[in-house]
Amino acid sequence: MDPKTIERLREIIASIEKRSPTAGTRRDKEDTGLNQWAELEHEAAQHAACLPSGAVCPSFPCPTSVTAPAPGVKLLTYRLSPGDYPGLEDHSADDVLNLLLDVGPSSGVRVSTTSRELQAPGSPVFLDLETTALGGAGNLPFLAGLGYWSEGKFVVKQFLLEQRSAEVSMLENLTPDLRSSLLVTFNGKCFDVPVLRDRFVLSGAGPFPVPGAHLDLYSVARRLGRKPGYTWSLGQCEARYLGFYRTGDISSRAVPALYFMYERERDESILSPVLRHNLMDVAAMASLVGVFCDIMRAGPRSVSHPEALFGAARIHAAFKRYDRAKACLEAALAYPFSTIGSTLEFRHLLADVLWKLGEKQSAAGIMENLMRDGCLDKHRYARLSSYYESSGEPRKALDVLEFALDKLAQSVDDGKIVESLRRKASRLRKRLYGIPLRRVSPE
Amino acid sequence: MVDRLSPSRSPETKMKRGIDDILTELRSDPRFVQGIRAWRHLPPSPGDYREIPDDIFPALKQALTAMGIEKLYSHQLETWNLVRSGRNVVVLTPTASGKTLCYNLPVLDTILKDPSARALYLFPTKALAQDQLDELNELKLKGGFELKSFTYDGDTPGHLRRLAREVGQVIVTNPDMLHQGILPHHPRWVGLFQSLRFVVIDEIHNYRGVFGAHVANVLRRLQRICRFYRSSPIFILASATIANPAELARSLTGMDFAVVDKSGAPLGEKDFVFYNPPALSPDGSIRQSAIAAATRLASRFVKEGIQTIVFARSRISVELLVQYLRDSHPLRTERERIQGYRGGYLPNERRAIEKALREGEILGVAATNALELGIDIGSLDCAILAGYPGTIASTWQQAGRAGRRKGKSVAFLVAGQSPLDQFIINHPDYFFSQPPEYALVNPDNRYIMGEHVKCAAFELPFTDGESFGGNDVSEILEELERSGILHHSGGRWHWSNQSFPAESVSLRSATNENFVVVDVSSGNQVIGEVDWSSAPLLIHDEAIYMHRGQQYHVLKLDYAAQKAYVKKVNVDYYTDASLAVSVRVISKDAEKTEGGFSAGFGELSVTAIATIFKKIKFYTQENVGSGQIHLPEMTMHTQGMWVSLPEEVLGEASPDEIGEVLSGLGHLLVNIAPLFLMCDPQDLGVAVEVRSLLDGSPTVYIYDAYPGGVGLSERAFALSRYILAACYEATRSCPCTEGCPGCVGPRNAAGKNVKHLVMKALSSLELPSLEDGKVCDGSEDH
Repeated sequence: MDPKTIERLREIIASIEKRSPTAGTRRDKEDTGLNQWAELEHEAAQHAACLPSGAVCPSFPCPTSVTAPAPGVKLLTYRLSPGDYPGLEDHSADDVLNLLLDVGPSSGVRVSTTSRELQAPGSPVFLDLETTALGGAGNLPFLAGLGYWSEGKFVVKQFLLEQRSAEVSMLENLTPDLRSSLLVTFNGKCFDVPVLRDRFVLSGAGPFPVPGAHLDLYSVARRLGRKPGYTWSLGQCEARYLGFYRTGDISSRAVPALYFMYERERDESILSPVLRHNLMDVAAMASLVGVFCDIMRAGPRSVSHPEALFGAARIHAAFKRYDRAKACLEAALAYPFSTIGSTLEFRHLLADVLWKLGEKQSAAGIMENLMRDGCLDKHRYARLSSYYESSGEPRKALDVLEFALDKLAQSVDDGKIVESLRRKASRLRKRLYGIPLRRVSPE
Repeated sequence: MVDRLSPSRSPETKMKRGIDDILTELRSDPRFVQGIRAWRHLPPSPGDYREIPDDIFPALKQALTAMGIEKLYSHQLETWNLVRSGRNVVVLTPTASGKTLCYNLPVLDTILKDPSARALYLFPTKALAQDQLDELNELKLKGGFELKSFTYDGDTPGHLRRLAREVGQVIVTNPDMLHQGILPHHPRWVGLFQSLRFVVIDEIHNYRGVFGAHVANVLRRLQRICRFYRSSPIFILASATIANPAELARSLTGMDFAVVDKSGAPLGEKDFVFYNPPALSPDGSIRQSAIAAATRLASRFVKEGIQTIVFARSRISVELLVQYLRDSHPLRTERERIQGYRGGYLPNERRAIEKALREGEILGVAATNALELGIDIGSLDCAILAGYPGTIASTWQQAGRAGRRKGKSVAFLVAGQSPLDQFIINHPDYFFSQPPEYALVNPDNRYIMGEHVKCAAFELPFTDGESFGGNDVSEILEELERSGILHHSGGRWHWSNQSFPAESVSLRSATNENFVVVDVSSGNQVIGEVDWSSAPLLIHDEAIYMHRGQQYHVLKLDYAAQKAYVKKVNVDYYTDASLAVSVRVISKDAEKTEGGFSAGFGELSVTAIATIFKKIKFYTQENVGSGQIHLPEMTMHTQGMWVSLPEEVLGEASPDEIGEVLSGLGHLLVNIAPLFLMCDPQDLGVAVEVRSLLDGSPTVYIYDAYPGGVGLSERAFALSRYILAACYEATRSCPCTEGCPGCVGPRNAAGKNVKHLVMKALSSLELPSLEDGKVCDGSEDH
């Protein structure tokens, strides 16, 4: 960077630092246009200038090789060892495959096989794009980070577009890695994949190389972590599941401005924070897969995530894997600092899972408790009543039904349920007392 | 051909007496006869039928047969043949003449023969798009064929949007959605753009002036994207009557068109009556209101079960008509068969009223020009225009709502009290001999084109030397690069900005913002909506808001939350609010003195504020009270130009006379300047000051009626000498003696001979000759 630029950047930084630390990071959605652009450029400039001397967490190796696979395209290759990034472990492609089988493939990419038949959908490729805008035809992905495991190392390849005219070459370079791969993204269903698809159309680079399957970790994160106030950005997930906050990283929103600056000034150091940001995003995905996979099997890394275990149980139950759902629920209950086990949703799910597993007595106990709390879901009364009836306690069975009918009497929407409960109740009364009508209580 | 558009009547609407009986009765009513100013008989036309082409796709023919169509009208076949030979066509035929089949036949035939073919339909409103989709669905159902047609607009749910993009064969949308929702995302629409064979644009007469300039540029972007995907669709355009359809079509698309303007649809006979309501004062300066007269007239027809539409010029008038017509109806149970129709009704209510009109359930409807558009309500028997609609084209369009294929229909023009109304009603020959208005568009307006070049650059990078609608845009591109929006490299102009340009460009001047009206007496139900600019007049505190003939008292207008809380009431008055508009020059950017007058150009602020409201009693129009309105003023900053006349030019004229001269000149300017600026008179605003705040001289202001301005008055300033010369020429050559709508405006009943004064003032200026052919080039004036 030439001294003049540095001088200018320092001035900008000085003015930014006078503002509050959060100033310039959050903006209203409507606030678009030149002013915002200028502000983002300031923010970007701040990062560009302070990164080399700023605190770095975690530190990264330099690229092991920098090549030019085509004019105008630069390829930077990194080889990360397990531990180079928090949570990054040498796990084989199996983790990704298992997670995919557990949660089902994300739509957005046509999947050649269904998850159940999935045998070998190709090796996992982690993809993250850096682009110039949020959407539309003018949105250009100028940096594509691809990560994959190879001989115990996590290899990240970054294709950087140095000249816009080289876009076709860049896309062609991505093609072999994408085609028939098991693609892993974070929010790729809504962003990376459609953006790439658009670019293949626009640049005339040929047909979009359809991956064999696609796993969108964003949707997994959402399904695992349902809790008021939760957001699911990659940074949030890192904080939650990998236990660290990035420092010295730029906000994604500052990325485009840096590229525009780079285009004008052709100074590669401007892009170094973007390259680092992208590298972290790719590595973060590889780390998250391990944690998610572990949560799904209620493994050792899941202990401090009871909410996620509950989410995992919900996913398992939806796929009728009740034993695994039970394992997750039990692991969640074992965590001493959580109240998740006392939530209604959790108790209902536990009762359902136990019921399906044939542990009807335990299930009935939970339902009974829920009923006493006045919180049993209206669809479960019939189940609880049948349980008592079949275990030789018809009077208790009738009590459940009468309780339910009293409770639902005011409801206008539940006509069908009420009707069926009423029929069951009259049958039971007939059996117990020989009359189908309800007893009139003595008081 | 079976008259399929005429509604099947329910038995109880059977006419007791026919139109002829009532007309005879009117002719013999001395009170009415006094007010007749013209009674034109438009003879029936038998219709020109042609065989359905043999090579039409069988299922399509089956659909036509199932709908009772055995033969086509000549204009439908003409369009078919032209389109089949690869020509772009603009169709110009009256309401309900089977216009939609003109484009649906060739389009569907192509798609049925080649299912990969695609078509894009553009309608000005979502309601019309929905209408069209229903029509396509009917054809599909009757013909038993597969057709994947979708509307694509703000109301389309997400999953249908994806389906529309991926498999839609006919996409029905509006220009705004094309601009913001489709073109910027064109890679998602590969299927559509690669195989786009037809672009159908209906109601193109709406796309004039500034709105038209925007739409023309959106179409340039569309064509640019089509070229990228190597498709070259045929354009089929349709319009209501205007003077220059081929020119408008060419301005909008940049292509040549064949014009189909001879309708082959049969027309029943029709009477067109000009009626001036009786004078209430001896000198005729006060007359019965057009609303009252229209009510009396309409109720005669409605009572006999004859379907009648009454057009009024304002929303309040529509509600008054509903109220009066209901009151005049003898059967209380029949009240619901009289309805209103205007902007501000909820979409579902509107759909229900349209349907009831088609099915003959509604006997009388009072409407604003919202029903002038091509919304399908079938054909009615009687149309009454309460007040002159303002243009020749609108008048014919509204009168055309009455008219069946066979049988008689009638239209009345009932004059209001304004000078314009009185002029038209007293000069029927003027009206019947005038061609309809021109629809003018300037797609090369630098401001508007600049915005769309930006959008286009986002969609696809410009290459060096690429033109846009035949214009060299390199300067615009360079300017965009200087402001960091584009980046020039490798011979292409790449988008280099995070913004989404289409978002900040609105095709229409009106904001979408509105106020909702909440009825607290029925569980806080939203009963209607009011657009932002009318809210201070209609739903201020204490106003009586009328909706579908019911009165509501406005308890509280929450301006910040854009909600009005109202309560149902039954009172015998309504409220009418006044709006005060003022113009102020904020900055003077250019000035010149030439030819004996001075002119200026700069930024203006136009301020409108609702001041007071009056409580007016139904029927008697007595003023029974008034109140202040305390609401924020609405301010628009725009560009404007002004012309100041030196005192000596006006001689000894009194201030009143000067005021009239300026109004006359303003009227001329607003009508003549659009010819130079290629815009619509409605794109311009006018204001006059007898003693201007600038320098005390009599001044006329012309401003762009768009926030920020769109360059119209800038050009008017450059051309001011020529425009004034044309004003003089128009006045001089006008055959009228005392002023008419074609020159300085009609003479005020008590006014002076304004025409004479304006002529005198203009003739004393040194104006250039219009014959030297330099008129269109304003550069010499800079």
